[in-house]
Amino acid sequence: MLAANGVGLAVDGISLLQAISISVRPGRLLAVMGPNGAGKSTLLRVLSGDLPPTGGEITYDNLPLARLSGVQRARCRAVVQQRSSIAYGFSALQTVLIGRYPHGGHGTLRTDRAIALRALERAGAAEFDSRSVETLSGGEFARVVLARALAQIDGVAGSRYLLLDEPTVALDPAHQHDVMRLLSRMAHDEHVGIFVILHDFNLAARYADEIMLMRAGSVVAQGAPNQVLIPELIAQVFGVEAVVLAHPTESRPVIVING
Amino acid sequence: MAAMLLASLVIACGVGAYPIAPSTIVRMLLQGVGFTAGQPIPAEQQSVIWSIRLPRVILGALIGAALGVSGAGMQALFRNPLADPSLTGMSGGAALAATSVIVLGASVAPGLAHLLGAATLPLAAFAGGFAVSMVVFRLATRAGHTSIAMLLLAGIALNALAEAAIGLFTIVASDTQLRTLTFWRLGSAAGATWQAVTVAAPAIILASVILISRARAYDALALGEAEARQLGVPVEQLKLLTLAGCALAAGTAVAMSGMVLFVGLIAPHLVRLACGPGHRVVMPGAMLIGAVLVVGADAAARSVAAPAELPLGILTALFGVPFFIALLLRQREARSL
Repeated sequence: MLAANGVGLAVDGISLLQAISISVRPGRLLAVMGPNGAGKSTLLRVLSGDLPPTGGEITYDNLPLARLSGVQRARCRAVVQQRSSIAYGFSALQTVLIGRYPHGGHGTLRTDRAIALRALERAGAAEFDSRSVETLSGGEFARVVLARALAQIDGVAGSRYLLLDEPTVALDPAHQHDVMRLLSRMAHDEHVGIFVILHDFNLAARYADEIMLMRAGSVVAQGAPNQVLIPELIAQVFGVEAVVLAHPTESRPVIVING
Repeated sequence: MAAMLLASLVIACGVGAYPIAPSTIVRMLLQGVGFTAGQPIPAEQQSVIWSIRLPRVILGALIGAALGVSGAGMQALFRNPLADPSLTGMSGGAALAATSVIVLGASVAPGLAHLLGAATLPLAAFAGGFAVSMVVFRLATRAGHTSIAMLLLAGIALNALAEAAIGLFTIVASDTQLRTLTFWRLGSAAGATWQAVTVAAPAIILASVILISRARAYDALALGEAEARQLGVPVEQLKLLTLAGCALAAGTAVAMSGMVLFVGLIAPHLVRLACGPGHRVVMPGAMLIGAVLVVGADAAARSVAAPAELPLGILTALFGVPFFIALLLRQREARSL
């Protein structure tokens, strides 16, 4: 379990996160939602170890994150950032192979290559494995970045976590659902703990096991989609009026924003 | 690429005011290591090769390798193909430190200079290059992001400062010092001796080993600093090590041959064009191509105006500047400058 215990972060006297306690469990998909500036990406950076918290503690399977080395961290959690880029014209396959960095010296190049090709396949990016990433569209590149994260934690024994910051934002609807289905499969079939920041209520409602709403650096609500995505909470957190409908075929809510 | 380097070494040994056929050189080298290859070679040719041409060509190759590998290291660190030891002020800092040693060394710290002997100049150049590149790097980096425009501008500023200080030193320099300075600053491998080779080789080989061994980390760094850190790369340590390695290589090159511009810019780019951007190929490749470029440029410098010689730095700048402008235009197309 990846846990934040009373985590706070203040930068230059401004409090960005206040006493946040959450847990990302292997086998569960946790979606994090909130308005711009709510602290979602900051929380992701703190959970990944990028930013040390100024209060509280992060633990990975009960081990304090601060005591894990960079490579130890890299073997159990992969991060997909919101804005990603790569210098020089690496091919998609080479980009994914870079994700094998923390396993250097262990796998042979051939097994790394097989893992990278599989990751591209799973992320729906197999058709452009040999193309330079400079020639890819934003959505295509986003899938390569996701494949890089998949390759990073492939074949790791023990708990694995994926932290993703709006992985669907550059994608067309078909690929949005492909990516969310992939994440959901990774959680349920492969026991990966997933923390994903989303802006689309219906993607979150459809695929998340649990949803957390954030506002102004604090957690406002947390629970199953039909407990959290209710008009009162959506109005409180996002300041918009919403209507919640029943999904015609599934036991998931459908959210319509009235403005 | 290694074969290209070998061929260029042999050919370059023969080029100059006293031409010698490549086949003679191969025979001579083989005889030198104990083979009997064909008829004996005249003593005159022997001495030209062994005491003038060979050390010069080997020193040229070392300098080129140093510039190529440090250029590749800088470009990996700054994630930009426009970085290069001379453009970012590293060579300027090294030149300033070397100048101050030439002018002041004997009077300020004669004991120290004597103790370090022939290594004084390279060591000073390393220290100067490292110090300046740290300053430039600090100026250009904010919140983990290095702005290439800031980098080049800070490089210009510090290069100008170094130039001014070097100018100041030339005023206080004695006549003999002045001759050494002028000769050295224009960039030339003409002063090559076996002693220079034995000083330069260990420093340049050490720097190259450091830089080449980080190739996988440079690949990760291409994704960005935060991403590299998330992959387990010790980014801060990598930056320091890279700047130190580049300063050692480029500083030694500057101490040996003055300012030889643009080799560090061109060599990695040529390797990327031919073999792709993976640093496991780019780092050693840039080293070999850099060596070929400098050996070739030095051979040309010796022969185009023979028996006079052109300074090496002038030749590399003549070819390097159009290349640099072409790269600038490409970056403008990509709107990333």
